[in-house]
Amino acid sequence: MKILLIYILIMGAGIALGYKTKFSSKSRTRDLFQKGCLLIILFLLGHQLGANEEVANSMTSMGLTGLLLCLAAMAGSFAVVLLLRMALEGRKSARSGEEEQR
Amino acid sequence: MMILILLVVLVAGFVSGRLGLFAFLAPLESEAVIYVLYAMVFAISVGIGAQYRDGEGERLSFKALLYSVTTIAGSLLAACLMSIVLPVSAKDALICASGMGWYSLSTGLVYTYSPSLSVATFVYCVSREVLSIFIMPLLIKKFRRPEVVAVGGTATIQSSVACAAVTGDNTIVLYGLLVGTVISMLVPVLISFFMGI
Repeated sequence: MKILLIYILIMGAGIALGYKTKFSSKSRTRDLFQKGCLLIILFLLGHQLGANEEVANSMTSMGLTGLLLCLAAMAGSFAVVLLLRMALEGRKSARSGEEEQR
Repeated sequence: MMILILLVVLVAGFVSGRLGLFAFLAPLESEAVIYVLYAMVFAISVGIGAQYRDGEGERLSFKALLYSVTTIAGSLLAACLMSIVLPVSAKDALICASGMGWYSLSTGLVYTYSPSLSVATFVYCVSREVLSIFIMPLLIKKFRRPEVVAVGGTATIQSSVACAAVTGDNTIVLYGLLVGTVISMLVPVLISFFMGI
């Protein structure tokens, strides 16, 4: 819960700062910073995973687990939203871009 | 291309860990990952705030919010059911599925809970991003925006662009961005919640 609170605070502070100040919404510096952070995180995670015998041994089974969960989650989201959309809007409403969401 | 670079960096880190290189990093890694994540989330949030200030953030409608929440519910329900046949508990499946495609954040968060589950989370998220780029343009020919965008989870922006290229309907990009943003904001909340159960 502590981590969750910290993330909410950080996100709230960041959104407020971005909204109130003149930071560009398409900053190349920020984009590079985010990519740099991501590369550091992935390298450190990879290093930790490689140095951990238990993780290295479960790599194949956990990778397959992740892939199967992904396929199930994509199908689950699709099916549930399809059912909800049909319940709310019916079958006859216009296709993709012509909905009232616009 | 970016995904390829990310995979190469991850594999390079993994190989260096297996070979025992950069052993001095070991005591610092867990904390360093968290602090770098904090910095990254802050930078992303500043960008979101600036987008709304510039009027680039799409306005949230009740239906879009409902579809976003339903997208998450569908993923979690399916993952929970899949845990019956997979070598993970329902709780672990829910944690993994809560990543919703945001591999950079969720892999780091899940690592603090279980290093081996973070492997599954990374594969889950990257697969969702990559597969949705190919699947969404196929689905949009037969189905409508809400269910098609639901396939991508947080990774709807690139895949929505692919859809727009197929249909010529650019509104799906803005819609995908909106739904992806709502889901993204819930990812750290969901992962922390399920880890704390």
